[in-house]
Amino acid sequence: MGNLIEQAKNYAMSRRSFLGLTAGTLATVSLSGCGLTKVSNQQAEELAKKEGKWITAACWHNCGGRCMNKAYVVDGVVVRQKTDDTHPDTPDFPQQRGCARGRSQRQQVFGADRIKYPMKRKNWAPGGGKKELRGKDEWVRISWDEALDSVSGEIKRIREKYGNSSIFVTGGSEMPRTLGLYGGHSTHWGTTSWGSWRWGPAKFGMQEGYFEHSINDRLDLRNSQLVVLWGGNPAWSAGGNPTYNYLQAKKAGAKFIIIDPIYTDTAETLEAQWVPIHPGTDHAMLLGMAHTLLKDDAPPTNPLIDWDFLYRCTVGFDADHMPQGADPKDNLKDYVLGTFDGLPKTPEWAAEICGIEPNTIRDIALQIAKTKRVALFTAWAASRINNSDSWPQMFMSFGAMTGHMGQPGRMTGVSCHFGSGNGGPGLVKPGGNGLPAIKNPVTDSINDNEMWEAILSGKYTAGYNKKKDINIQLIYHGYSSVLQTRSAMNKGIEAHRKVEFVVCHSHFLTTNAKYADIILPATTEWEREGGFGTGNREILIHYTRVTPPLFETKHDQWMAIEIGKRLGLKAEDIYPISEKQQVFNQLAGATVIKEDGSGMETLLTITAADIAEMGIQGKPQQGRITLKEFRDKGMYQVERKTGDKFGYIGYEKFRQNPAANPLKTESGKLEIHSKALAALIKNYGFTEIKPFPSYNKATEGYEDTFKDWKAKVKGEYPLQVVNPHYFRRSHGIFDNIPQLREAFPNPVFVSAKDAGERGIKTGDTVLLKSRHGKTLRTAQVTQRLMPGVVGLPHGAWVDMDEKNGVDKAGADNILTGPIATGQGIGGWNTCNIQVEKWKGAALIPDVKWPQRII
Amino acid sequence: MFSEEWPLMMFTLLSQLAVGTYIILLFIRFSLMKNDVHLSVRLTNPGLKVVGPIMALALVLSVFHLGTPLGAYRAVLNLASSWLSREILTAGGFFVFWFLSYSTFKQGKPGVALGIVTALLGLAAVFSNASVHAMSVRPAWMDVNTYLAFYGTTFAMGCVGATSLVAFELKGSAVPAPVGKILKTVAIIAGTAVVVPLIYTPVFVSTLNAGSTAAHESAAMISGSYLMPLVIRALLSLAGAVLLYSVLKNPQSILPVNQALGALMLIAAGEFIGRYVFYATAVSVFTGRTLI
Amino acid sequence: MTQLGFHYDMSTCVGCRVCQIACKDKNNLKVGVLYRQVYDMESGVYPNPRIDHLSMGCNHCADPKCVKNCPTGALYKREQDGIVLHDKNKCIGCKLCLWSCPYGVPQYKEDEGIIGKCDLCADLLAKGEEPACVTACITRSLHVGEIETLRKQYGNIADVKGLPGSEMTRPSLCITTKKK
Repeated sequence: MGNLIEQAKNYAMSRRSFLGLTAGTLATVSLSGCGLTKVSNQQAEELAKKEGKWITAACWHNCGGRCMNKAYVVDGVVVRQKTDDTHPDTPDFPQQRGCARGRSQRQQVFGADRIKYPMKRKNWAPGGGKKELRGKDEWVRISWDEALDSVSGEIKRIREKYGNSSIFVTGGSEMPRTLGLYGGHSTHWGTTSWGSWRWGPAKFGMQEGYFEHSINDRLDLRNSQLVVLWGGNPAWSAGGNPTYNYLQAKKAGAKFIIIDPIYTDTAETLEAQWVPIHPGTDHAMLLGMAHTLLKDDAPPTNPLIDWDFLYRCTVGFDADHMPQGADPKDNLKDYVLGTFDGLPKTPEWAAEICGIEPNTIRDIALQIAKTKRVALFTAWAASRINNSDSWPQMFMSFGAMTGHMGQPGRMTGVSCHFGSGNGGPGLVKPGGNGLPAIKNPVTDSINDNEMWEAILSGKYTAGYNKKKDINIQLIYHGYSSVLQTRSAMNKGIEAHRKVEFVVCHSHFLTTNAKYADIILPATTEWEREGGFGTGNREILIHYTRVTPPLFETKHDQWMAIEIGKRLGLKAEDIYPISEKQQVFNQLAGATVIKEDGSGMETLLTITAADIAEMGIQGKPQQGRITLKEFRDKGMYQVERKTGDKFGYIGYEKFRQNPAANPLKTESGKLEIHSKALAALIKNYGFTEIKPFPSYNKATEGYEDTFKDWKAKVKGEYPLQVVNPHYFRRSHGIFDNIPQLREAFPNPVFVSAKDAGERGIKTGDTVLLKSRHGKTLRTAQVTQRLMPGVVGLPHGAWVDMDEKNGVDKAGADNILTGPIATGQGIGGWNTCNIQVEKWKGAALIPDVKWPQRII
Repeated sequence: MFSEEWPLMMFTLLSQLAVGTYIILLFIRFSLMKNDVHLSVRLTNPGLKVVGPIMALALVLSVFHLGTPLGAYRAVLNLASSWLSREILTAGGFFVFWFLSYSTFKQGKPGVALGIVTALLGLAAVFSNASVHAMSVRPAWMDVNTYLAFYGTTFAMGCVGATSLVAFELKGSAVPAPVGKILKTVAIIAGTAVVVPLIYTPVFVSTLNAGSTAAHESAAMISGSYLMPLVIRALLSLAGAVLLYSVLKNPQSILPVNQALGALMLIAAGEFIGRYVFYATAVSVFTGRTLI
Repeated sequence: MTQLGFHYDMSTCVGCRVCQIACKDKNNLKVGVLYRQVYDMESGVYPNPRIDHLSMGCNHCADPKCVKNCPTGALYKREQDGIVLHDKNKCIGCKLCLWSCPYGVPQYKEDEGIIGKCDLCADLLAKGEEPACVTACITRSLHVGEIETLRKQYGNIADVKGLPGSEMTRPSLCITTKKK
């Protein structure tokens, strides 16, 4: 590490002199305050006087917001940024304002720590060289030719020696094309952010909440009298407008309930009733709530359950309404009442698990049942729990019991990411890019939780009772961050040090890049032809190039082609159409909702002159606005107002007539008993569930913090750690930006009670240790956390102290283990830890750490 | 953070030493003049000479505090409302008038009027200096304590400074009677200058305790982590004052240079610690923190 | 003479710091220098905690101590709209304004040897635009305008827990507080 710092210093010096010599050619580089200081204050002042041009700039991250970003370019220098000002701002038709991260985009693109040239690990040689030095070796600049020859050479050598399945590709759509044509490669899969909402819910009739939504749109949310947010903190996790939209619902009179181990900023701002809960025990609480309703329901004097909805629109709630061929005993009602297992799931039963007073459980159940119009929302955080495959089904079941579905102000489902509080299909969308798919002939695909162990042990789970051998010798990191963002990072590092070759496309010395042999410097979206910001249903952002590629950075597509050529492939087979053509195809195919809401129509008018100017293939077309207008504004936003035709009510038609509008489930209804769900889970080959939503204890969940559950004696790892999404980063992205490090110091949040018991004060460096690893952070003692829960922000770039194996950055996945359950869930919020005062040197603030300049 | 204030802190201490020494030497000079003009000149002229370089050093240090030292001359542009402008003017004025008055003294002239103007400028400089701090947003400075502390330093240091310089001139010879009497008064002034700020300290802390959050924090620091330094400061200053008094109580005896210097060292050390605590415990009224 | 100022809605601010970052970007500030900063205040006891935020730029006070104490006149109040401006050619970096501002606004810039501060984005105002922080706010918790007009619309509160008393400098600031 000391070496690295020294090296960084030396490089910083030589970089500065280098820049001094070539300031003229580097005029494109920004005035960044903390990145490359290329322009003197005097020059800056001169630039400020000149007229520049605003360019719609990409903000392309996986963050939960979709916002407008513009860069002001004067004389080729990006002088500053701004956000949406394309139209006046109103709650119905809001500007798409970006967050602190997006507003730091130029600090990222022009960061001093950009990977500028192809780099090679000093002690690397074909076959791996000193493999154990991965992550701590020095870096040497090499030419593109050497880099491409080395990468293609290793691909060829390893394929010949071990076969195509030994090449393991993570992320990026580019290299899979090349390698697909070259005989294929192994891949990985997992539920990532979704948790157990990823694959299971489609089987019982609910949407996963990213591609499609079960909840109503944001204007309809204002009709809700009560909004329940079960997990989820849009104020932190979904930058941009989601919180603002919730505030409109609050203004319209809605009450909020937030069930979360953290008293979030969302809870504070929405003046919510906060119900702190042990992570991963939400299902137990819902069972207790269901029990309350079943016990107290007494129509017509005290109707709490929407029996009409249950009978018409669902199967499996009680023994009389089971799907064909199902065991009548396997119904939710009898399970809740304990008819057959002798264990009624009373609020008292639930309280022992979830940590919420029985009367609070009853009260929440009754509030939801007795309020006419309720939005019952959950975010994925509550499902990033091991063994939680039945939780989404239970959530749906409770929504169905209370009938809060398919009507104005009434909805049940996932409210998360850019669909936070705003469900419904896209109102404006880009077309396809026109690239033909390339098939991957290799079918080996390993679950995220198993991949590092599979590399180490040579075996992985390929289905029910099915283990397969695999011998991975090449890790190819495209546009991905898997070593950082998947479980069991310590195993991952070990795996990276085992294989014969690791290569990474990267912008920075990220975790993936740090443990690689060769790093290929990639351009950012600001240095490319252009693209689209999608996800927020009301807008389509079109960003364009801000700056030519910096230093020797190249597009990933160019790398895929150049490596392909060295493997004997033809460029036109890998990318038959140019980057520009791909952008054009998406423009030409863009559609927008018709004024009467009846369907989509062409968005853009494109003239023959436009096509000639772009120098691509295409036909002129008529649309709603001109290409020039779209480019100049950088965005098309569908103007919304109350009572318009662009709203969305999830399950509306289904509720009105389920027979005529069946869901895509076996029964066509919402399945509280779902054979298909149970079969799906079983076939993954990890764990099994019942077809109805019974409670499954999470591996390394709350119960596992005890040595003796009955006597309530805590074990060696008595605390649960959750990983809140943190303002500083979008997952791992932006962790290196100095001004964000300054704004967000990235502490670990420790409850006042747990801190008190351990003699920990705010500002103390603490050690967090789990069964799987150790990491350090500075403690922020808080009253905003449920005792027993620790909040370690998600995504900090690991910074391993090689002397003692303790990470200093607070990387969340240093603590998580390689635990595969159910549908291959990324169970990040199930992790048991211990926290103690660190006796070694105290951490210095992240903002003072040297930048990773190589 | 505090390290950046070293030049400033040294400026306050040295300028107060200079002003105090000048005033006390002037007091000795004018008091003696009635009895023995020659003696008054002989005993005070060399000391008055030293004041100028001390003040010059203080002024140079104050320039080091500036981010743009070359612009120092602009510091007097806002006399209408800025105590810092007034301080620069009066401190600079003190230096200029020191030069004029000393030139006069050197020629063996009485220079009473010039001396008084210089002394008044010095007192005004100390007042301005205290006001710069008192006009800040740090409750621990926005108190009469600042004036007591700064004038306390001025006179305590001035007395020991002047006594030491006079002792040098006496060179171990017996103290002439009128000089001894005057020096005894000087010892009493020194004692008062040391004791008054110390007596006020408990009052000061209780005032802070009754004040805003920031005032509380300052009070907590003064009576907590900075209590020990303050106790040491009090003991050093008192020891210095007592030593000075013991040396000067018997007007007829010989004035031992070493002991006078010892008193100077003790008091200077006490004032140094006191001033350090003065800076270190000043908390701004705005105490915003970052918790996420 | 009119007086421009800020309205800040504490009840809707989520502490996201986009104002701080937008300000940093607009003014091209290095790490360590912040013309606008967001602060957090936690109170209450589990299970009834509370978190408040304070976004603080220059309040362009009616009675600014920084202007009063500045020895060179580098800090001054602009006649036409009451903005407290800083003339970098006059500033000598004496840092007295850092001691004088009850809101911690002026910032010392080590590399330039002078201070810097929020100028209400006077250049943007001149173009008919609003300050970077205002147009950045994702919950629309910051507004700029003639302070009397803002006070009529949002109330005349400038004293909240965590802030020094407004009598000290009479800030051109009005704050919407939480109901609870």
